[in-house]
Amino acid sequence: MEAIASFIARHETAVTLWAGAIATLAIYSLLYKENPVYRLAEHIFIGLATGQLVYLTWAEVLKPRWWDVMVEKGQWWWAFALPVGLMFYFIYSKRSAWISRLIFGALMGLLSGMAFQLFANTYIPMVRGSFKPVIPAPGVGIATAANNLIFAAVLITVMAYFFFSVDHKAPAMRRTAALGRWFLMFAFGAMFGATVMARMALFIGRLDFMLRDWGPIVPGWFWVAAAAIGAVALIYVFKRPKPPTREEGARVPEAVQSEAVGEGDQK
Amino acid sequence: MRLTNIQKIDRRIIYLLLVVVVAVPIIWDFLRQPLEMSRDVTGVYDAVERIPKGKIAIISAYWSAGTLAENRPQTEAIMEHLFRKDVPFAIIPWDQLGTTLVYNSADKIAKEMGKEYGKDWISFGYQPIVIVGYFEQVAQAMPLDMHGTFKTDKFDTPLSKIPMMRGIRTARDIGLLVDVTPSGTVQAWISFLGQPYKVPIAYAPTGVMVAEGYNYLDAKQIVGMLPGLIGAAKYEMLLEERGFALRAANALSTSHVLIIALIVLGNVGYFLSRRQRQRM
Amino acid sequence: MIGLTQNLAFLPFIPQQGVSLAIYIFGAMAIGVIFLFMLTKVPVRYRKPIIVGVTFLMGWFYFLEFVIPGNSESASVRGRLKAAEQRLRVASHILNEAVVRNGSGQPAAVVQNSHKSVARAKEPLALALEDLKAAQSSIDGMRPEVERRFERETARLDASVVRNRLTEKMVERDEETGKVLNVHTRALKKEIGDFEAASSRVGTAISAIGEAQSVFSGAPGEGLEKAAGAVSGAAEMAVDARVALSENFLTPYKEPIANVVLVLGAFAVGLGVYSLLSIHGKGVLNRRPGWINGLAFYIAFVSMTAFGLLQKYASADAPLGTLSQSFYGILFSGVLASLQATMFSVIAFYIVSAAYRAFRIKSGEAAIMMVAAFLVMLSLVPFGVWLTSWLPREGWLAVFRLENIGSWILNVPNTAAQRGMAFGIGVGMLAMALRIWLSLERGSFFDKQA
Repeated sequence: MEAIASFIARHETAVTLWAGAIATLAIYSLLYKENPVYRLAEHIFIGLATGQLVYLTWAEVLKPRWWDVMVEKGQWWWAFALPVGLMFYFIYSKRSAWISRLIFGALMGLLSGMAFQLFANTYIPMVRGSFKPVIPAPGVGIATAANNLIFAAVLITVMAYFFFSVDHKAPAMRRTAALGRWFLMFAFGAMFGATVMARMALFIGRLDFMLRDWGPIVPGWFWVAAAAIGAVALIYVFKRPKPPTREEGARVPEAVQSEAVGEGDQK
Repeated sequence: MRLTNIQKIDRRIIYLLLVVVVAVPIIWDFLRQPLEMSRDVTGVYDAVERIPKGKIAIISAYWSAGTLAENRPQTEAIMEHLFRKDVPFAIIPWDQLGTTLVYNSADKIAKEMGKEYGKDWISFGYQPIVIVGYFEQVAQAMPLDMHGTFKTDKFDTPLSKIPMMRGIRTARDIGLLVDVTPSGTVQAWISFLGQPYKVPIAYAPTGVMVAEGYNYLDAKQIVGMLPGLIGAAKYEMLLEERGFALRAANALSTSHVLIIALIVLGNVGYFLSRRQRQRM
Repeated sequence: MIGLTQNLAFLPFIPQQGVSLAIYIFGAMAIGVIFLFMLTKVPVRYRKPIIVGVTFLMGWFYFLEFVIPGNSESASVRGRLKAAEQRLRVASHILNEAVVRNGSGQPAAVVQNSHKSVARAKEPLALALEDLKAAQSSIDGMRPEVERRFERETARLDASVVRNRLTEKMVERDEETGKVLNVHTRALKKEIGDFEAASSRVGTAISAIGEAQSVFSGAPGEGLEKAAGAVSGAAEMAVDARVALSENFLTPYKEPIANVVLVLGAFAVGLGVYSLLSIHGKGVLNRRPGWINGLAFYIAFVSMTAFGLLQKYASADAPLGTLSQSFYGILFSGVLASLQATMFSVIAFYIVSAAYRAFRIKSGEAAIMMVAAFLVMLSLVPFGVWLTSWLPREGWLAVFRLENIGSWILNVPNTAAQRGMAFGIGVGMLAMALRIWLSLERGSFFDKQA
């Protein structure tokens, strides 16, 4: 046992890197098409994440904050928490499912009561911050004043677009709102640009791991073999006659893609 | 191949292009153009510099492995700065994966810089975000009494027994809250800690939330912001420490150029095919 | 300030140990189970009203905590501090104006103007000083009473500790004074700390005003900037002091509520785990297609839970401890984190492909969006900085440097548009919260007949 433990401890880094590389490649195999390896990796992921959740919930939440307090400090009233916590599980009961709604309702009620403070402390400073000097004065340069004027114009037109989206009958209102929609596009463009950066960053992170962390520990022959297999695979992909099922394969990610567009545009 | 077909390149070729375009700058670090510093990033830097003696910083780590590439460099850069300034900090880990990730990061940097757990930094136990409203409740309770809200650290030691937390109890003892997050959590910190208790809040969101973050910055609800990975890269520049974020900046350049080129290509093809159809 | 707390402190919640602890725990659980059983017997027509009532009742807590001011005495102190802060801001504005105007190259006007400013600033300063002094004296007047109450309560608790033969492990003591803490005494202790902080901040503000006034009595002009700074610092201190006094009788309960919700919510974690286990368990037992995946799920789940717990609780020196530490590290950093990070990064491919296929200029709006997106994308990365690095850094041409254009888009039109949207979202959020609070929300969860 001791020998095994020390052997594994010695090779832990290498095993971790190899495991990471295999996991990464297994997920990226989805990019070619949906396949069993990807699905297996997905299930392993769910299993590990659930295991991690259970371990942490016991070791860092329930043990120190409930069990120890109850058993070691003698605060017996925490025992009430168990039956109350069990109320969640009535969701599986057909006849008494309402008991789970009772406790969910209590939690939702607590949360909804905070909305007023959240609203006041978030939006009042924003309203206050929106009154900016638009006339050049000592301490307010011409450029600042111009920017503030643009700021005010964009804010007012965008609000016109959002708040009066029901009744756009008055032509002045309609034009203001239309202008607001044009200004909104600046924000959407900025959001799209920043989102692209975010997504690229995630991929760069993975590739950096593959090339900089895992790459150096890989023996040379592995690269040669991988390159050969890759070349064969590429030739196979591009030279083989196109069967009709290929369209089927391509359609699945297409659906995901349209979702990604939606997210990029709206978020 | 007809010219209008440039809007119909197979997606796998595009994927391959992306891999190549990102891989090249990772292997070969060619362009060393320094980034221009911006007010949002220096705001965070100055806020860390201004933390008074005797106060601690809180790092609210809401992130998970999914946004590791953005949020980890941000967290690590700020941790390094806090260690350099000898400002003790406590981590609130919210995510089941993030808990271990952020602990490992802090542990690594602390060991490199010769810092001690319990004296220079601690991590509270896992605070599950899966519970409805619990995040907001902690944001409400923490400013009143950290010892009562978190009770113990990650290793079940009561906070009163930890040297760093002695006498550190309320919002008055917090010099800065850093919210590293892929989500809209900063609103709760602003509402329950920043505005009522005048605790400065630094925001380190992922790129997706960046555009929204400028709204809080403009209203002075946050003192600064690290916009995604590039924010982390700028912070590394300020610290004069070349880490993953600065290395990745070049790959960001090439990938952005690729996506712009592809969009232009797609539109050229679209216009050509539309004109062809009009002619017919 | 803590009337309600006092009443609740008399509830018979005394820690137990040994056999009596076991009896109490099982008793509490039995009562809970009986309560649950009774809930199952509630007639259908009462169920919905009960849910609505509980939700409504719970919503009041944080709402009232937010809107109820502290007790009348600290409310009046806060009023004074607010008045002082406003006067200080006025004074600081007057002084700052003088500084700015003189600084912009009118040396002849310095003395004359600054004399006028000082004369105008003197009155609000004097009034603010009066307010601050009054506030400080009433803060210092309130403190002994709270301190007395703290002493009384802790003495009562000490007696109770002795009477009930509680061990040291079972009580929480204040790390400085060694006094026993519970919700009540902890709140009192915090109140004392708040008074202390408020008083010292008001003291700082008073001395800052004194500093400013000493500048006026000499030859003002040079020291004016310093005086303005001191006055605005005093205003900040007045705000700080006010913050410390803004709590009411509900505030101390925020922390126990968070603790209770944490424990209850942690029990709910089992819900998701249970449904995953049952779905995959059925698949494996019935050998449904893809059962191998279900098995992989089970192996992954069991090994992660086991190694996680072992690496925390097994001794780190024993082989089992080191072994589980290694395995946990491999499973976590190697497999779990890599899998999640890669899953999220797949979106990078989709966004590139989707942008190429779907981002078409079909309207003027789309064109604006595309131009803004390109400029922001370029301005963020080093390549964009490099593209326009030949333009000068200073002067009007610097406006055209890409990083400046990008930062302008983000900071001016984007911020304004985001704010417009945020106001809309905020109103929506408030309306949504009200609907949940009053159980008006419709949906599968809320609408189902009980």
